[in-house]
Amino acid sequence: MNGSPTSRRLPATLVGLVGLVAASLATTPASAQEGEAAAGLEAQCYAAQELDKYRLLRRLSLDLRHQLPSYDEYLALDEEDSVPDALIDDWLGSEQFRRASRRFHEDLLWPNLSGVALTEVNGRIVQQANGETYALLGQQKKQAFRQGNGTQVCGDYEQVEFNPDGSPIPKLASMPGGGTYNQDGWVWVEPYWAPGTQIKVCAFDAQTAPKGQFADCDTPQMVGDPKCGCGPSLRRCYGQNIETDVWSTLREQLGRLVDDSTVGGRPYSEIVTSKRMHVNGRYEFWRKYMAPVVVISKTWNAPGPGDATLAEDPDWNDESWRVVERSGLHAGLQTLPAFLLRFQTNRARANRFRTVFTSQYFVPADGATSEGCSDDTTDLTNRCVCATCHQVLEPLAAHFAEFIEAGITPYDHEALPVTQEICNDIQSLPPQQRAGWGPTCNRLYVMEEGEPNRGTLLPWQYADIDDALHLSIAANIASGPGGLAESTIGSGLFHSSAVRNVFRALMGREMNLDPTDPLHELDLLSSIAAEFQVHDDFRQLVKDLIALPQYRRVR
Amino acid sequence: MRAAVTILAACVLSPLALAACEQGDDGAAVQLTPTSTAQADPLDHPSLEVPPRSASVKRLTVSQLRNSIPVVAGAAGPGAPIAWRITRDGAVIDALGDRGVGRTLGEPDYVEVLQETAEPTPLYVKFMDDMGRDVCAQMVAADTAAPSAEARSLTRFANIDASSSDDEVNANLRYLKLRFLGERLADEDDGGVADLKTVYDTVAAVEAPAEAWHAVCVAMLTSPAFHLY
Repeated sequence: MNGSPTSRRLPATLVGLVGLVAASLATTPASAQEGEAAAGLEAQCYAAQELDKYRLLRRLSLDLRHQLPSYDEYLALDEEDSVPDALIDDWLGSEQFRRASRRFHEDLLWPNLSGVALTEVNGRIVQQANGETYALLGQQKKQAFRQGNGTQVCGDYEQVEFNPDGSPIPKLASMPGGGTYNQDGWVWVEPYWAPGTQIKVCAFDAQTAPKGQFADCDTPQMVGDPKCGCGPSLRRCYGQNIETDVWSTLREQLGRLVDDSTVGGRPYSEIVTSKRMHVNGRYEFWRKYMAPVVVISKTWNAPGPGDATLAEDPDWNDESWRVVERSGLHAGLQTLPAFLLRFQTNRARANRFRTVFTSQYFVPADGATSEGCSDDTTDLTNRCVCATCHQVLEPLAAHFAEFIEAGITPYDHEALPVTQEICNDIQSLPPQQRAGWGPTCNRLYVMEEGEPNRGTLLPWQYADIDDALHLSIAANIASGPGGLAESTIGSGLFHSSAVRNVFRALMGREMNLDPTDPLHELDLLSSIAAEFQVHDDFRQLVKDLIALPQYRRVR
Repeated sequence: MRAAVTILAACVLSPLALAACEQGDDGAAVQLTPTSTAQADPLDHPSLEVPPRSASVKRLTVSQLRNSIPVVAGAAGPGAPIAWRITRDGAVIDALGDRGVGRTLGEPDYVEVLQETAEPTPLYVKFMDDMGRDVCAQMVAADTAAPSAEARSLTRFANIDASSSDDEVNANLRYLKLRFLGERLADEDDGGVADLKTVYDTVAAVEAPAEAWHAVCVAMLTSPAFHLY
């Protein structure tokens, strides 16, 4: 930090006094010794005090609104016996509570996508050193356009000569170290991120044709095609900060689904079951024009079966939100991009879902047996040591099988069948076809020599074994993330886990679920969770918990 | 849920516990005076209703702090809520914003920091000292420029630019205790603000009243009572 806070002059001799008084104002043990003594008291006599109405107001305001009460709000309590229910209801309907509830869910779901690669260098268009002209960053793309050695961009002149297909007619130019390349000039373009403005873009990079020399320009193959540019208004390419804007949009999208079920009047369980989804022009623009240009080595976000229909001509600058319906295996927040991209493997997705919505955690077993298992199988349900967790995790992960890993796309099995013979025998293909299919096979299919079910999509590799565990994998693939949600809700785990999560946030401690402790809270959990499963109302749950004597006492 | 347990043995076995039991959280419900250090017969004492385990003490999160400072400190002018500000790379920024020290204080970004460990660490205490000095300086400046007592956040019941009577100082300290800490004192309760009065008097003896109120403000904003709830 370069700066320092504004400081008024405080006489040095008084600094200690101020600190001493500050500490004495506390009602809570300030030193470790006092803390230990207090802990001893608490353990033996639960020396806690009921909060007076002013302190209770303070606690409620901090928990429900994430801010202290105002002086006037304190004064209004003078004529009251306690904090009025009407005030609590008012706060539960406030914008501050919406934000606090969203923050509570973000603490559970971690929806920060910073660093998630939506594209790579061949999809990024950046300003050149001259500060004026824009060109694609990737060497592969530069070379496809201009030949040369992959470092050349356009010359500083306006491109005026074009072929009938719209591609620029280049001039032959010399490279500094010898040799030649095809040099284009620049053209004026109104970029999608700044409508009403014109920027200079290298003519090759600005090409708008839907089809290139070899490929459809809205597919991954456009990278190596000299006649595929960034498209109309540069919509296939990522300008500066565009990726950051998409990350923010996806985070907001998840937050809006949470809002629906916390303050929006919809059942709380819909956060894991709903087919609804919030979209805006920016999201649809990204999904329609940018995401299909998949880069195999990065995240795979092209639209797929069950995704909501996209607007005809979405506008990147339209940030107004509306609700659309998804279909297929989509369910709740766990098939929203912010979840699927934050947790990129099916195991990570299942593990986070299990942690948040069932309050169950994987703990490696002590003394795992080495009998009846294998040390080298890739079927982790049968691998020594791994099996203790993975016999639970693999069936759970199967619920996410139909959504591509490291991406958000639901599988289209016409294009990507469960078993792809090409991938099973890729070495026998002609070089050009092998180059085309190789990256896809390597990313999505079982390719290892000697592995069972070679040429099968990875999540399906062990789904055909005829035993109860592996049959459940096949069944869970079919039921999808919605099946996981329904079984979690049906078992009561979803609502009891939510009670535990909200309790922890409000009380600053876990519920006491030790049955040997006379003060255990098992019965409390049962009763509140049972009621919550019936009313399914997040705000009512919060009201029930802040009414508990636990909340209204402090130690 | 209230569990009935016999706590006599625990109270008798530990002098520390005894002190707590005598002070009792439910007052008269627990009155034990052992006559020897020998273990008493627990059957002589009836079962007691022990209240449920209370909530734990929590520290303000960075988010709560960010939202609360303007509520407590008021505004420096129309549409200018007071916030903790620092200078970074030559620009004055919100200290608890994205570019400030929020991450340093443990606010999660959900990539590198997944959970806010809201504990009063030495680092937190250090930065809260910075916060107190900066925010209080702004409060003093805002009060000095305020057109009326009602518009002042720090010195609503006392003078900011002139000395005040003891009654006025105490009244203002009671006001500040409610505003900053949520502690309501009776109108004539001077004992409840005696510590703060000492701070005020000590500084006021050698500095202008504004400096004394600044010191009082820093004492309150750096108090654990402000940061814990």
